[in-house]
Amino acid sequence: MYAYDEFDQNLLTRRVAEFRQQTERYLDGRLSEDQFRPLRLMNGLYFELHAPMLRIAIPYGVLHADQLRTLARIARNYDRGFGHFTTRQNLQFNWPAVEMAPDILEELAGAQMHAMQTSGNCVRNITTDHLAGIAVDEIEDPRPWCELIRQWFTLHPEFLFLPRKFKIAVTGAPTDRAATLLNDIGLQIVRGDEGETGFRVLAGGGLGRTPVIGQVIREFLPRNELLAYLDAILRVYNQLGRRDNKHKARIKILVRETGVERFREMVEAEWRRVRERVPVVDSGEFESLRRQFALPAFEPVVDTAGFAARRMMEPAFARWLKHNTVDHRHAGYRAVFLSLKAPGQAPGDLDADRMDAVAALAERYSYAEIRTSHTQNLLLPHVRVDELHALWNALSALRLATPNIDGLTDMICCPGLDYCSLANAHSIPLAEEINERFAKIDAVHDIGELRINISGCMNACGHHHIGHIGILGVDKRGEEWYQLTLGGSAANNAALGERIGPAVARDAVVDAVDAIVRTYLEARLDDDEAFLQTYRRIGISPFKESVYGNPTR
Amino acid sequence: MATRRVDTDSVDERLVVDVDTAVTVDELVARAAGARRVRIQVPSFTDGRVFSQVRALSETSTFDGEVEVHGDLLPDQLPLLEQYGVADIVLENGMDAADRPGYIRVAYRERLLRTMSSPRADTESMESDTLEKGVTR
Ligand code: SF4
Repeated sequence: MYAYDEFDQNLLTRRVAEFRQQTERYLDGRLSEDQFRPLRLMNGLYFELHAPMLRIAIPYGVLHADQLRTLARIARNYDRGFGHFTTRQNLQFNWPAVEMAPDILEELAGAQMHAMQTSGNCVRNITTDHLAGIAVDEIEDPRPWCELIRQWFTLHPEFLFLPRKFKIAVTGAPTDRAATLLNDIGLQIVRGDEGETGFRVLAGGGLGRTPVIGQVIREFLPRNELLAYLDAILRVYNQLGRRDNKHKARIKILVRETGVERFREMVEAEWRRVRERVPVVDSGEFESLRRQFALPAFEPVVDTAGFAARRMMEPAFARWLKHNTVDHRHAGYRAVFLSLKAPGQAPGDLDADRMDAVAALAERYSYAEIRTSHTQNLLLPHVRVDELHALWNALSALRLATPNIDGLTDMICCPGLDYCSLANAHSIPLAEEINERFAKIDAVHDIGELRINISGCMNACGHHHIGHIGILGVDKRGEEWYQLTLGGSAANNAALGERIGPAVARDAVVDAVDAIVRTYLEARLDDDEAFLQTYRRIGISPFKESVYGNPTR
Repeated sequence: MATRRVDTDSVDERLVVDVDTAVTVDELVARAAGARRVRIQVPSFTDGRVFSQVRALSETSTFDGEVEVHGDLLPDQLPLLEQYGVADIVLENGMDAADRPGYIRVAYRERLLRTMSSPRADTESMESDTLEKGVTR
């Protein structure tokens, strides 16, 4: 795992001291609310509806057991005993005191963690595949590249006051698990003509009020040109991105307004200027960065017979294996998902005691490594097959073994009215109701992969546009109503969901979802045809009828 | 955005160029060519375009004069401008430049520029096969 050297540690210590000074100036009135805003946001500190919120970076979603324990301690000492994992693989604390934020950052720094650029109009933390380094289909581990990009854009003096936030995602595998089509810049590691790796560069994707799927602006970028090319894109955006209207300030609007061809020309022209000054990435130096991400030395797993037998004998174990574990690059190992979506729990939340318990399990079963996923779940990435059963038992006792990964009850849901001042809807209670209704049905019918995403307003923090079923809270004359969309996806064939019809009332939402799911169960060819496939095969009409009845006008 | 010739009988007859942050880097570099001084007016501390402007001025070979930035800036932004060689910074919002925290001198970028980089050996071939592609001006 990436470990800080003296330089990293020193920079972080100074950064905390700087933020402490800035917080003091805010508290004694030398910085106004407006002046403090960009400075605190750059350090992860939001002012939310009821209290501040601190967003902590989990670079490329990788955590060491000791780091998770640090988060548990912070949750206990400074918050209400739990944390919330986000769709960008980070962690949020929802109740810290402003005055304590510098202390929290100092504790984090002690565990090689930070909140730098997790918010604000700057280059945010880089996200990637939660299976990076272990995915069976991977071309190259994207994490060293993510780290290089992170370093380059940390406190990059040119790009700390952009028109708006800026998100970069990298995938090293052809199966896109990092939503590269839906980020400001998406980077896909691909092979060139001579087998060398480079990047396909996409720009202008994003969700929010105006969802857009990113477009390719360069089919193949030589790997050592990466930093210069990113600088060029950011330079164009920083100059020309709209600053007059916050809702039109993302790069997707610039790409749309200039047209992708013209945008590409500007980037390439800027690249020629920038590359005079930004030298190529040195392969020797990069190699030493890459070594920091070397996988553990796995032992051969010999006894898999016992595992196979248990799988045969215990259907509950088999079901968990099927839904909550995936193949690992190294034979004899699997990656295990820990579901943070058990019935009755707010999606993505984890309390401090269970953080400690997960840290201990990671040490026991997964080389002390934990990952966070875009779907607000956790992973233990390297588990021996012959230890899966014991781990399953331990996770079950912690209520972290709900076999629902990528299933209907593995919902993504924004905080909604419970925390957010912009919300029209109570997203979390709705998610709980859906969970209650479907937990049993799912057990009987094995509904399979079906992603539901819920946003409390059009800002789309719950990414409803890319839910197979998307649910958006809207305000109708002061009442909570819900707009449903179908067929969204963030994968390779990314698509934005299609509106199924007029918004439905609060007490009709769960029934509407129920009708959609039943239509799917009746129409699917077999258990292996997932919801999205069925939807793409039969279209929206049958679903529409099931929700609104047959139009007999 | 007036450009004026400095009224002086000194030997340095070069221009002082006054701009705001709306001027693109292309235009700014063209106008700054040969100037003695470029003065940039910043309307708001959230307007980060100035950082692209000063970087471009520091990197172009056609301008070797001084850069002055004035306007609504935070003391915390001074180090960012200084990294691009800005000579004079005037805070016109009543804030005190002495309030700058001053803890961070070197971030990763400077280190990467030293270590994570080797000179471009392939500039010629890059020019012909990839650089010109898609540029149709
Ligand atoms: S989608 Fe709307 S309601 Fe939900 S967190 Fe975002 S801004 Fe708040």
